[in-house]
Amino acid sequence: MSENAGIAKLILESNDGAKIEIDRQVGERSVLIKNLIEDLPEDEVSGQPIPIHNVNEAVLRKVIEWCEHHRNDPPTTDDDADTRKKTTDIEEWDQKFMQVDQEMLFEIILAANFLDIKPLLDVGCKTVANMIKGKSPEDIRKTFNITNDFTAEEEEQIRRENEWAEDR
Amino acid sequence: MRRSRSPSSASTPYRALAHHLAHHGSGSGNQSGQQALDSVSSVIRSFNLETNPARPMRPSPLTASTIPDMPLDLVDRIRSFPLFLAAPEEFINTIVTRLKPVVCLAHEQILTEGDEARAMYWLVRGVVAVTSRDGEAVYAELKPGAFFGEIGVLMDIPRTATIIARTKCMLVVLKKEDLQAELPKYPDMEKAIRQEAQERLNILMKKQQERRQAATIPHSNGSRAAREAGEVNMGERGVIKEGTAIRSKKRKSPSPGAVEDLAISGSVLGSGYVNIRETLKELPLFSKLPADILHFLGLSAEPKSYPPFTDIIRQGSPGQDIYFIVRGEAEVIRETADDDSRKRITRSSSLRPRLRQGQYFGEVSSLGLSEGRTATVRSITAVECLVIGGKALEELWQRCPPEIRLQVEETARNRFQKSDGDVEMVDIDAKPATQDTVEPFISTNEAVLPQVIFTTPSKPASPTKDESSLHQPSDPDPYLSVDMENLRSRRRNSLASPGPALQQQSHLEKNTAVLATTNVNRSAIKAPASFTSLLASPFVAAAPGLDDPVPKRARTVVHLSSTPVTEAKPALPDDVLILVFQYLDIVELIRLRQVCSHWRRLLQESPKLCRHVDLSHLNGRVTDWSLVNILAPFIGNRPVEMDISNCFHITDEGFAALWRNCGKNVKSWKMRSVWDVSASQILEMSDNAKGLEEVDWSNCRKVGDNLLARVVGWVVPEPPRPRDSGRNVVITSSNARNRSQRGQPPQKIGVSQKAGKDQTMPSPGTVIGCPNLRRLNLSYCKHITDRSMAHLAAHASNRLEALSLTRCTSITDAGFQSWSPFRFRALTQLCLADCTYLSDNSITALVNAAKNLTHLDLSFCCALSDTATQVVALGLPLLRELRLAFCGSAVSDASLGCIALHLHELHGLSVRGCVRVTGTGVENVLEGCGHLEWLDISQCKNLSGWLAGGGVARWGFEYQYKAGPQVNTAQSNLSGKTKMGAIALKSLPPPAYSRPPARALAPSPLAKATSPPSRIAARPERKPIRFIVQKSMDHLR
Repeated sequence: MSENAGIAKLILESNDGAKIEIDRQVGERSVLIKNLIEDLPEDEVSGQPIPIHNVNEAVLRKVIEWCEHHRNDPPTTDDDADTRKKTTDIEEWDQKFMQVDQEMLFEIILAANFLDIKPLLDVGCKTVANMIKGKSPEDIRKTFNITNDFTAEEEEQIRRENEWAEDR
Repeated sequence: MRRSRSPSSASTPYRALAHHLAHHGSGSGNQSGQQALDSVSSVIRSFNLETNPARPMRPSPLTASTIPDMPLDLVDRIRSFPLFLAAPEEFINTIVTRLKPVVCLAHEQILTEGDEARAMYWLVRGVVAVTSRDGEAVYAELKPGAFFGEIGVLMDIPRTATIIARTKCMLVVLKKEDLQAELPKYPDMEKAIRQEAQERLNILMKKQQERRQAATIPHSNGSRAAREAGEVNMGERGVIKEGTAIRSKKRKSPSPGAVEDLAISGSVLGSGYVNIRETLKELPLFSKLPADILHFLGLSAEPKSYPPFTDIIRQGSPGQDIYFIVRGEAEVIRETADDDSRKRITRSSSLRPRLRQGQYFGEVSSLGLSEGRTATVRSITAVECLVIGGKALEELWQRCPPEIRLQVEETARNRFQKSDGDVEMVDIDAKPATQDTVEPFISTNEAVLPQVIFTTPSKPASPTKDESSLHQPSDPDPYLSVDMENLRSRRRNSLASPGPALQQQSHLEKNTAVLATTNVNRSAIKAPASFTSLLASPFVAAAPGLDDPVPKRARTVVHLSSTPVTEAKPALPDDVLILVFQYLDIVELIRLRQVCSHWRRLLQESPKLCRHVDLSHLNGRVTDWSLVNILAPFIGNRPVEMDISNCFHITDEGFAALWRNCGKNVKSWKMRSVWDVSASQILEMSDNAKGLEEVDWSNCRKVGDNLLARVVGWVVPEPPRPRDSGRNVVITSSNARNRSQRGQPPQKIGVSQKAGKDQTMPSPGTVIGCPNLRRLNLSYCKHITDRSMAHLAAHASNRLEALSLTRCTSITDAGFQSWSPFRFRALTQLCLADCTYLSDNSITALVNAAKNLTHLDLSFCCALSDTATQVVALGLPLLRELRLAFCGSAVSDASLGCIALHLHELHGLSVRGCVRVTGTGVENVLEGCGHLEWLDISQCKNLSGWLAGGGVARWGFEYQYKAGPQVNTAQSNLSGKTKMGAIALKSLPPPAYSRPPARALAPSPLAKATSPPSRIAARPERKPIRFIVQKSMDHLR
């Protein structure tokens, strides 16, 4: 552990200026914050808000809500990575948690990615994966705001390539 | 009472059908008198007794029918069969006396394709399957209410399909003679039945042709769903009467030729009886056509099926055909005319109307109201359609009186204008518009109610595939609560619904008026549920109807601006996208390439994707073609794990493409039951994948000693004699003299010898084969012999971690003798299940060689004696799981005592089927093995006393059903190897082992609790033990 073991509370500051105080244990769900606390001298952490540049207040609160709920989860190891990949099952609480509009969902994922909260990132990605499953390319383009940049010929070619995959 | 009679009389119907028919062959049902009728009710009762013991034995007086001793419910069921719905009362009364109930046992073959047709059948209870002649391919499943066999009887042709009872079934049979005797008396009925049969036969022939061409057998999901729904039946007796009451009232309007009457037939009742005629009549344009013309149309109908995401019709393309969806779902897509930018404007998916079963499209352009198709219709699921071709329509116009044509065209035009060309888009909810236009016709019409147009989503799918599935789900079974629910909800929504049933035809006009309002109501009720309609309505309103296609573009624009265009939507960066993709199945990934070029590149190139390729669940679709053309190019060199288990279509061609493209980095290659791949290809695969650590070759027929030796490999030894030394070990005969035999000439090893020649002696130290290979599953490889055992000993003893030799019956004691001079230090898991020839000598050798075993499976090693068990107990102190199922002579109280004394690490033990085990032995083990978590004592005859004495309760609890020994396997800390273990176990015959779902389903309650920190767990803290107790195989379910 770090020399800053004494710190119990952290203050996070969103990019729109909101300051949120949280337990250190909650904050340390974020590997980024955890490393930060361990690396910085105590006076720079204690009582000082930690700016989270890429995240606005609404999203940050949501992320903190998740961290609060999962504060006691055992740390994940990379060993699970393979088994984790196989399933898109999401535990119930997380499912509910992820019932937000798509913009928020993406924001949460981006925040989790930035803050390095792997389990939250996983849940978010699973949610998105579930959104993608079974959807037509057209629907997906719409969902992700993607422009179809294939020419007609290309599209036809891909469609033919994909016939096998569509044939369920 | 009747009950007492039933056993004796029940015996008759239990016989094979042919006998039954012969039995009743001579006389009519009436003449066979009281006894025969008795048997009718007793058959029913005996059937009910078995299938539904909860049903009251004594028939309620209310169920008595006017036909002597024919229970009312059966009569009513027969009446509700589509064919009879409109039949005159006397016809039914006559037929019913001729019908014979018959009970078929599960798996009984009721009809055989090609046989002479002697009777037709109605299915009253149970499920039957329509299959190919050999019973291999199942075309459809029929549920109660369906009838079959009528084509053969009416057309005098041999059976067109084979019917097999899936469950125990009750059928009513009508013999050909009886039908032929009665039918001429009712010319209307005869005509109706014949026409219907002709239409079906016609479709059947076309379908068969199509199937032959496509060489695929479309599988009917719909029918399965329907069947499942059907299985909910029984019970709900009160409900029945309501249903039957309604139906019998309905029957009071016996209009000849009223088979055509939709109000009476299936679609209103929601029982989903879709025949061609009814389907055609769903189209308001046709609904009023006379029966003859409909028959002509019916005969010209073509069945067509489309895979998902295929364009059925394209916007703008010419076309005259009208399509009726009989199964599946399609969406209507309108292309914008905006071709300049070459870009497809993003369209909101929610704005696409969907077409479902019972709906139709394509009639606008077919009537010449627009040039070309007004929209594209694309299948979403697999769609089956009935298609009425343009030619048939033309002919129709010639045939029918001109005023009908005028009327039809007017209807179409009305629809077209009203909805502004959107007729093709009619979604369920868009129908009211249609309604209004149809209404005027109704009064002039025979008996067509507009209501038909509404297809309730709850209507079971009814594929038109062939003879039988055509008459699919018409279950008017009054016991069927599902149908009752439909009926009820219908009534709730529609005040009029019971009404029309009661109405005489003279009341029709009034009636239809009521219905029309009903429909509006209903659509109003439905509308909120479907956001399509919500969104679609402003869409239509925005561009009020003009009848040329030009406004379409304008409308699309309107709709685009009205869609929430989310420009500010955050995009996910590539690395996050990759994370998302990692959760998707390979098929999904392949599909996603269509989205855009960036995704395509990511999907195709990201090294983080396709690392664990599992094609086993796609086994039916993975063929040489798809591997060569689709899968291998897409997957590329990315996988570290490749699982093509059960992809039995693969031959060398596809396999070669796969390993060449994708095999280089693979560490785990599973190909269970990919049995057509040759040994040389497997060898090349492994040569290509030097890093291979695990292979699963279970049930690969071509795997033999030479291949295994080459893949397991060896290191070319130092000179002076480099010639071939190492290789010889491969072929040493089954004894322990490997080392001494090094000098033996290598003739016996074909492959390695050849390799040696080609390479002109590899230099010393050269590594042959896969030096990291350490997990091997060789289950059911019967060509693996003692030579392989010797090779493994000589060259892989230090690396082998897991080995399954399940049912490798060519391995003998000698194979294990060759192990004894070696130390398999890493070997922890060994499965020797079903190696029936192994004796105690093998076990002794094994125990000396592999002291670190933690999992050992000796199930069905019947030749072992108590000595073997004792040797195991003494020699393998680290053992965590030991399976001795059906090792009757190896397991006794004495040997269990030895286990109890020495195997302190034991977490799981199976002594299933070991008849000598008594309570003493079990108590000993429970006392002695402090870490024990589960114990399988199923089928241990001599344990009944201990069980009865509450032994299980004293120590733990009985694990219900699906035995979960694998739970433990899964939890062992050797994560990589457990998969192997599980696979090995799956291949075991005893069902308890072969239940992979148990692993997933049963996170053992003890899973977390155990994992004891200290070895010497204090006795009081012991967790309850899971007992697996199954009396016999039969009780497994």
